[in-house]
Amino acid sequence: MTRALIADDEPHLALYLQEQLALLWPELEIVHIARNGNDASAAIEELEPDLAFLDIQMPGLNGLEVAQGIEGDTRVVFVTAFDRYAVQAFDHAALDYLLKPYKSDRLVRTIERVKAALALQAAGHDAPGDARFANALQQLTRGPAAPARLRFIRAGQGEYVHQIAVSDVLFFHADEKYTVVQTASAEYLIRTTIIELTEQLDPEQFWQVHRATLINLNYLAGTRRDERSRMFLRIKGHASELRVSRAYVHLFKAM
Amino acid sequence: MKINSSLQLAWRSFWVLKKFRPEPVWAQLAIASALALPIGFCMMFINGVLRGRLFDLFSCLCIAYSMLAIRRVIEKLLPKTSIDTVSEAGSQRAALIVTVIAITGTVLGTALSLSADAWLGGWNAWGAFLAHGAAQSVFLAFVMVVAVANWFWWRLRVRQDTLLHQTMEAQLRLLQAQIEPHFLFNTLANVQSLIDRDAPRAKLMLETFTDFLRASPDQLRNTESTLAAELAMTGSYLSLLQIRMEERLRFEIDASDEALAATLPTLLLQPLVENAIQHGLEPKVEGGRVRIRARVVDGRLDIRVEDDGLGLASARRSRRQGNGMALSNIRERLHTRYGASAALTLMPQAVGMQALLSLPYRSPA
Repeated sequence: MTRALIADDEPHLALYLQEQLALLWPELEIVHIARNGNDASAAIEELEPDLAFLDIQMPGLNGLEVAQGIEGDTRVVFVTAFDRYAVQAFDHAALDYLLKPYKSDRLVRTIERVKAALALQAAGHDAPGDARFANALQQLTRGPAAPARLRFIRAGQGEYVHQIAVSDVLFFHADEKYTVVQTASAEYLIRTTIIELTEQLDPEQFWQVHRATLINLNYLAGTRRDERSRMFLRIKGHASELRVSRAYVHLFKAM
Repeated sequence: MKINSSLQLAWRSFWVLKKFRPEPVWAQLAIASALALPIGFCMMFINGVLRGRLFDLFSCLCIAYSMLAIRRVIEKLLPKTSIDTVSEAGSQRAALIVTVIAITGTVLGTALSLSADAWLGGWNAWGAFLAHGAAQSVFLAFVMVVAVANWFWWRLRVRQDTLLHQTMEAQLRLLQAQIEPHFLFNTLANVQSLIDRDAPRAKLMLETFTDFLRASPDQLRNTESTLAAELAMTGSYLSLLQIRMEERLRFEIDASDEALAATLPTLLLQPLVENAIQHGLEPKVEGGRVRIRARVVDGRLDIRVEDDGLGLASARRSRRQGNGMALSNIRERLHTRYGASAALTLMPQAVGMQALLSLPYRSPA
């Protein structure tokens, strides 16, 4: 049985999608309805549904950010009232997108596409378009490209300001308010977000591997897959492993 | 009819620099003459220092035509782009150019009329002018008056232009907000989702949406409105969003009768409420409350828009732009309309944001 999650901050719209899906795809089980991005992200992590219908503009994490944080096999269909860029970027890349308000025959088409992709995945194939999906996500969450290359990070600590060469950074990892700058010897807190960092750092050297994580390729020691085919990265000079979101796994297949 | 419209066209574009002039030359000359003759008549009664009083009339016409000619030459010489930048409202360069045209036009026109007088009347007008100290001082005074009058006239026009321009900007913003795809399509999607499940609510939503849209023609036609009308529009906007966001949005509108009767420029309040929603509450997971309070205190109308949303933190993660533009439009309009006696203040609160709009109280009665 296929399991799905719906995330939309407007309850009538979430309920409507649930009703329509019950009509048109009765075998589909809706495991959770989320009212915001944070809830959606946590529920996807916990319940590991096969499918997530994500509204793009939501409080907390937005739909794009939720998609960037998915580590397991959950596939995404974006549901949005309007997002010119998203529509363009996802036209080929996402599993599908729905424009609100939608007619039921449009939803039927989405259901067919999803079923086909899930069948491919069950047969052990990767669905086409994964790489494009990740690229599109990255383009959407970033602003227009700024060519400026950052060479040093400045991090305040008490009365000191530390200057850290970018080449010494193993990885950046974001939590709620701060971004952790991890070097071999220490960690520092800065206020710059991961999105801002990806805009300012060399994309050849720094790879985003998760909504919250940006790694320095020079320190990548290897990858590991667990039994549920989730991917983890080992970093030189750092004990714990880093998680890779599903949208970025393809980056390491080509290596 | 045709003559009338040509004259109207000439009158409207008489005071601006334009690369391409659709109106016929005779219409421009007619307007110039119509402006010059009364001035000439006035001068006939005031002085007549040089020969005869008719001369003043003739001079004034010469001056007006010279101004026209000089303006046309400048328009022909300057590239279209620089004419467009110069003629933008508020540009100091435009004032300078117009004043220069006025002064050179006066000098050239006077010289022309002197020469023409010499040529036609066989009288040494130049000699008389140069010999006559009084004539020269009158001429200098005349140039000064023309320059100063021009400057003030231009300032007045710029102020009116700016007011109109800013109001149009606010009206355009309202139209944009109404057809903003997220707002429009999400509202329609909500109606769609409610039709089968909760028909009365779907109906209420359509009616509220209609109220919101219907309020706008008045807002678009006028530059002034009453607080009651402004609040009616804002109220339907909030009710609409309340149906969509359900328990994530609560709102409260509280205005004294005196405040409701106040007249104020249209569309000052609506953008503040939209800001509170879009930057304060919509991005906040648990949602919150908007409170609008309007009071008249010591002859001033104070309108407060408070929300307990994200406040300053929203700037970091908001995907929407144009917030600053709406605020600066409000400030510009307040400044043009009331000078220093009106203000918009944004005060970040411990939780959320408070916007205070304070302006002189005016009522229609």
